[in-house]
Amino acid sequence: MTESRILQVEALRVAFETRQGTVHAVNGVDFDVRPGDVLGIVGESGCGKSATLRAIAGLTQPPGEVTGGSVRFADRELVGLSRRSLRQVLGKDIGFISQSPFGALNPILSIEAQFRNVIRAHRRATKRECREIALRALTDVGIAGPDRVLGGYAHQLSGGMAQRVVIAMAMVHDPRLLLADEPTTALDVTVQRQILDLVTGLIAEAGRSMVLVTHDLSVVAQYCTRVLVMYAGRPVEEGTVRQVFKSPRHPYTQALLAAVPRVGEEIRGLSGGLPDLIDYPVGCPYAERCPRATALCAEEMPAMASCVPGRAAACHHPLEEVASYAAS
Amino acid sequence: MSPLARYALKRILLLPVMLFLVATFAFLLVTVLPGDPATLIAGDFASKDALAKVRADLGLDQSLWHQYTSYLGSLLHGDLGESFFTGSSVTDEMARRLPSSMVIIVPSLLVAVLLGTAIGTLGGYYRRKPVGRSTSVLISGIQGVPPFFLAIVLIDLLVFELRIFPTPTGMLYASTQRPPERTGSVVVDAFLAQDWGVLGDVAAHAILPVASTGIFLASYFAKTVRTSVTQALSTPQIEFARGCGLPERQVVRYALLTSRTSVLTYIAILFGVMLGASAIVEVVFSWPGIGGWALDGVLKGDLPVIQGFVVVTGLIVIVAYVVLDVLVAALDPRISY
Repeated sequence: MTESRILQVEALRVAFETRQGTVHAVNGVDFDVRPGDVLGIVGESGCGKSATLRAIAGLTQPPGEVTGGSVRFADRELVGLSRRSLRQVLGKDIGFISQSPFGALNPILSIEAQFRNVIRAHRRATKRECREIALRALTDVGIAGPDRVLGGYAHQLSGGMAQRVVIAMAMVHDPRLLLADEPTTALDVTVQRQILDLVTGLIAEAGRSMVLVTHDLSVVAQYCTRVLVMYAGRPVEEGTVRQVFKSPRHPYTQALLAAVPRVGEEIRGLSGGLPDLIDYPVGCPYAERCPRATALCAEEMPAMASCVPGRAAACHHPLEEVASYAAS
Repeated sequence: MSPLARYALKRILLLPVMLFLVATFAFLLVTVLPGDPATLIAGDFASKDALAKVRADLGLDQSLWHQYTSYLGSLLHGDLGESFFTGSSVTDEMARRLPSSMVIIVPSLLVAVLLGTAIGTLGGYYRRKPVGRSTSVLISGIQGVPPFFLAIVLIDLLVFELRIFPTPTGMLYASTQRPPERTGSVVVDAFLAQDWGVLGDVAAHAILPVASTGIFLASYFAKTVRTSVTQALSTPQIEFARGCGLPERQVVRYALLTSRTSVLTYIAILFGVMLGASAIVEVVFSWPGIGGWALDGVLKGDLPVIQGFVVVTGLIVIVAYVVLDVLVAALDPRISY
């Protein structure tokens, strides 16, 4: 079974040392990614989804620190790897895309120079070869007139163009796994779709995999194959997008789905806020906001329990399966 | 013409206007200074007639406007007047001394930039490690020791105890054969005569003053570089660079690129400061530069010397700032002009 999993995350923990105390941002996250999977990680701000993604890529910024667990990429342990060994994997086998394309690009170096640095990080290439590779990569992400883009600088690009350039750079070495942290949040809606179509297209084309962190459930519904719902640094529900969206088992997932605004309906938000991540609750972190909570929930942390393979929820009182789902 | 060249030209064309303002400022500065130059020259007990004669000689009996226009007129011819006390031409004196000062100031800044960038980068990169923490102690330490004190310690240790460097008595050994005099400046003359022996002697004498000034100035660069490297390392730009697998030396280079502008700005500012503040180190090393000479002029109330010093150093600083602006514009693609 192991060969079929490209990424295995087990009991991953990330903590941030602050003056007020240790913030437990990620508290034991497990999931697998198989070739061809597009896994969406969703949750509200501060649920640890971005911290999880960064921990996978070894990009956790101090004062943050991976305090436990394991990240295995193609059967190679990444946690605890030196920066030097990690950098052999990053950019080559694992690609990383962050939120703001303008933040990601160097403002002072030309796009061509940045491409050259990225290409030469993993292979020997002459200036001319680098240029050819970069031109091809830019064409692949749908940039017309890649010559002009290469000669220019980040600030001369539009948001959508800049994100295409970032994607082209992240994927120039054909990584098997792409990690994307809200890659379209900084872009306007029409461009968002184009970028997501592009990325998921590139992923599907070559049987690659992707982990997509987002707070946008419609993005998950449209582009992901699997979904992991996180709350307060813990996974609360996991399954195929179809399963989870159609019949959520965790009350938090249900509330999240109900909070998606629909035309003609009143907007329903989630009441209450995240629990204290410094003085982490003993029981279920969602207990305080949960309509189904009982005394048990406040005392004992529910573990992820699967009913069907590949489908799990962490709840003492999960919602019933909808009959129509059981049939499908 | 490229936009950059046009921008540079615009800044250069403004130079005469700024020089005029500096010259006017220098003139006004001297007229409002307390004390009567005639009394200074003729002495406190001079007779009225003697004082009047001195005033007439200096042109001080004319109207302020007349003094101003004749001052500007001679300035246009490069004439900065004569010292009240030695009678020597201020222009000649400055031409003789300025190159000697530059021999200290320019290498000091170079040492400061290299040393400061190295310390600042280490401090920013390892800011959570003992190495990084010790750099901040080092920076504060360096900043707390005035350069003249460092100079005295270095002289005592390296000149008198270990006898590595020549005694701090000017630029040359007593035995040095001076080059044929052409411009009056030993440095320039030696250069023109391609007399490497003399230049070598100057260099040997310059090491200690350059070291003590450079180390002190390095703290400013170290501070600004440390701050900008620290900030840069936590930006998405660096995260993406690492995410693409760039080697750490490239990552540091990316972080350093962001501090380039502030380092350049500090170079221009500290260059201007050093033109005026080189006096102390020059006195400690008996260096024949402009700083000690100007300080002497200020203490004696030698107005033409003060005026000439303000005008010339002002001009140099203005030119340095124009160079800075053009360089910054040329190096940062985001700046449009």
